[in-house]
Amino acid sequence: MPETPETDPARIVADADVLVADLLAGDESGNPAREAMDAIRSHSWLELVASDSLLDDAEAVLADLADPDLASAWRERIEDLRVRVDHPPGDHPALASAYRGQAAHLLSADESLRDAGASAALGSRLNVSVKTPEGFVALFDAESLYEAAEGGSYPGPDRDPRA
Amino acid sequence: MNWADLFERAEPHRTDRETIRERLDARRDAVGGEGNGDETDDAEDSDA
Repeated sequence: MPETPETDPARIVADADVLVADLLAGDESGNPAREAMDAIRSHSWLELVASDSLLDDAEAVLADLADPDLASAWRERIEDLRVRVDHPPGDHPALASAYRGQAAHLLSADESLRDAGASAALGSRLNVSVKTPEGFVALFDAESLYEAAEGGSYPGPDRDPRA
Repeated sequence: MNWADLFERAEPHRTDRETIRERLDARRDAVGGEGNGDETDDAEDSDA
């Protein structure tokens, strides 16, 4: 039986669809991807874990649906936010980022990552909670997460999510 | 460029989430379609 790695409650993977929706699916009202990413951007102790492959996917979709210049500018900005992990070519970028980065949360609209079969398959190797951005936002409790991840009293948001 | 500027530049390109997901799936099918098989198993096997 393979070991299940310990996960870090402050480490989050956002699949490429969530990263793109953050930009293209509307403003704060009615865009859960923006709300979820704002939660990450607002707290310096939360870490966005992503491989190059995951960011490549998001950048390509952004270039396709918007324009290459915007995609390039986004890539430059997201590089400052993400914690980079490596994984073998061919791995699912989001799953492998979560595994390699020991992330406790994976945000994706991909139903195949959330169905029972995938959960069972992942359970033996990957102790990650797969949620939609809506689910993450609904359950996100910065205070208790801070206590679990950092210890002590939650000081509130410590970063400008628009900077 | 900060996030506020990025969001402003992105606004004219507003797209629904279903279209975003479809484009991502199409890209991953195109990039990983040659012999990668089941994605979940790929992650499992490579990390084994």
